[in-house]
Amino acid sequence: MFKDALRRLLWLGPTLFFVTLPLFWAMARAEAAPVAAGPSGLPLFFNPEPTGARERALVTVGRIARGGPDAAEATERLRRQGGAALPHILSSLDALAPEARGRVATALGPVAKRMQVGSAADLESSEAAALFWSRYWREHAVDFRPFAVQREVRRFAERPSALRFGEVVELDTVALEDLIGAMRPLRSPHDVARVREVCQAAAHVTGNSWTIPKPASVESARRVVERWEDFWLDHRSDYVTLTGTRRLAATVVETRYGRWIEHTFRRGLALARGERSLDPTLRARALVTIWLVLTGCLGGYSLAIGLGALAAFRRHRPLDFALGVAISAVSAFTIVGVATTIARMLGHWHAPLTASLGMMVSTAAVSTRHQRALQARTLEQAHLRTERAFGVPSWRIGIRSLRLSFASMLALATADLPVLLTASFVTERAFSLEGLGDVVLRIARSGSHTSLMALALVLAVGLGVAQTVADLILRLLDRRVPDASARARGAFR
Amino acid sequence: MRGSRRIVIGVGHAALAIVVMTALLGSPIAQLLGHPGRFSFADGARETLAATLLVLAASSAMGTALGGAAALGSPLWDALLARAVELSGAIPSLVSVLVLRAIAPLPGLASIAVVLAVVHGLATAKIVRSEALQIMSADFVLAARALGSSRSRLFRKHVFPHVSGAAIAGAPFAAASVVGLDAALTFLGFSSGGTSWGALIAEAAQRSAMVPMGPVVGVTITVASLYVISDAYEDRFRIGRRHV
Repeated sequence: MFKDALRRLLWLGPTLFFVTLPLFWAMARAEAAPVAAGPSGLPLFFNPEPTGARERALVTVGRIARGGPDAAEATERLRRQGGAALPHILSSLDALAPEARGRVATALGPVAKRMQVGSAADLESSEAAALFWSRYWREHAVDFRPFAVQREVRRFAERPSALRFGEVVELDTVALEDLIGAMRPLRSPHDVARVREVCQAAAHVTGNSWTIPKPASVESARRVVERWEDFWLDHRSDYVTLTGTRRLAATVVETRYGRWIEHTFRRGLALARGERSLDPTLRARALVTIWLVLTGCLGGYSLAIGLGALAAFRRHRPLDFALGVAISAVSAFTIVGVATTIARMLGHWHAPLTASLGMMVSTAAVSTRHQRALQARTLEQAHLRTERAFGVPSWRIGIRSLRLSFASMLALATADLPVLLTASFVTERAFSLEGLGDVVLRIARSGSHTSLMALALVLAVGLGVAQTVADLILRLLDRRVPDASARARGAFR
Repeated sequence: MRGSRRIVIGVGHAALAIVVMTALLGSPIAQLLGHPGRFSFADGARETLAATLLVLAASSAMGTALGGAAALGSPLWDALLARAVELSGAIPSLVSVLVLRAIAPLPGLASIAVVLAVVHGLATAKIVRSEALQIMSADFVLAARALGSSRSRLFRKHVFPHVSGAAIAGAPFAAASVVGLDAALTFLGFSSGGTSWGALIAEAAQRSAMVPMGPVVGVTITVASLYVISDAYEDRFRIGRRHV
């Protein structure tokens, strides 16, 4: 039983992955930008030549060395890339022509200021700057090796001090990856104090102003860290050198699809682990939607069971016919008609309660026909017919048949979860409740195709997990429900 | 009993015919009477019925084909269908329609019809598959296999006649789904731009006016008549099975 549920949950991932491929392609086609090049110039699914810090630094240096109209923009790029570009530039600085070397060394002036190295005299002329950087690299190249950078950042993150801050600042953006990594875990006020210093160093080397003020709660600190993590996801290729397996992975990750999957997956995973803060308003909204879905599910199906039992007991009699007509009419009103009519009749008096009444009525209207058929089938079972023949009161048989059809009701209710969610969005609007519907519709209206797709996937995963759990409960309640291992063909579970 | 059932089936056919005639002739009659645009109900009927017909035809065909392939084909087909059914059942149709509209802007209710055709088609496939597996273990199918019938012939001659009843069992709910989803989308601000029944209900709800009775009665008649008709066809195929 549990094996079957686990298998279903594990299948959910690969299924969604293969569904996202054609969907993403179609979404990209629908966008105004050409398919092959997104806003960041990335290819769609495969990047044969991913560019990292090395490639970018060399291109930038080439433009600065040549001079010309785009040198100013290249200088600005080099300033942003900072220390991450130094290992690739300074090691080959001497190979450049004297004039080009001077230009590059001068362009590195702002980086030296940020790294707090060199005096004004060292950087005042192009010849002096070239000499300074050559000397600097001879003495400090070893400090820029990955293991050395990791050690510096780890020491700083464990016991921050002004001296260690200076050492990390001197490494500049080459330390950024480790600084971002050192921002976790963030669970206690002690972590907040530690991460504050790390953020300060990251803010210094990037020029971003995302720091943690004093005092700050864990939640507010976590929001600052999330900004850093988002920044890193978007800009890491400026600062990371792609070699070996990292380069191989980049052929897939450094694509529009790869970036999107990584954003969605990392954010979702962090949220699930409690490492990412959920907006408090979103939490309150989720409670409203969950309340409506639950009341619609439990109340609506309870009402449907009662009405279905009544109709099944009075099959082909006037009461059955009258109930059938009434239910058809209410279901023809649709959830929109039902919710707005109740909202108009009762006003917004105790809105969450009256809204749940709307959900219950519309759910009951849709599912009573199913319940009638289920109850009728249950009543035809041999043991219930025998009981009737022996004169057992109808109410007792009714209660027994209700118990038997409960499992089927649960199965139908879980299958109806997506419909209930749609009904909940409509009810929220009709009763002016602030639920998740508003957020979902805002995403849909924003026109962001990738956000819309992420939303569909999040809903699919959430509802898929809910349905699997409900099926598990169903099998615990009713052992007669077979699982995959008990079936000959075993695909539908 | 048999006579009264025939009357009910006849009334069901007649009611559906009236709705179809209203859809086809409503606007020309309104123009003849000098009130063009007065009978938006008739225009709505045309759009809604067209979408319902598309959902019915596509979902029945798709359900029969996929369900048959899952039951008679390789286990891979079966597993793929199971995953597809799970996935389609987990994404709300509302979101699927919005995604589809983002990918390919289709006119009127076409996007709703396409999404519902897929969702209903996969649900039908699930039913057809289980029916087909039951039929496959019947003696007459085993006899046909022993005589060397190919898989396609088995399905065409022996399985399909018995599962086609199950394939159209969900027909009555197609119309209600189309109107319900259209009304929900229009109410939430994603109107398809037409005058379908769902749009009429939602627009009245947005204006805080009374829900118009025309579309409500139209949906009720369509659902009830489709219910009676599909029930009659299902019975017809069930009688066929009794002969077996």
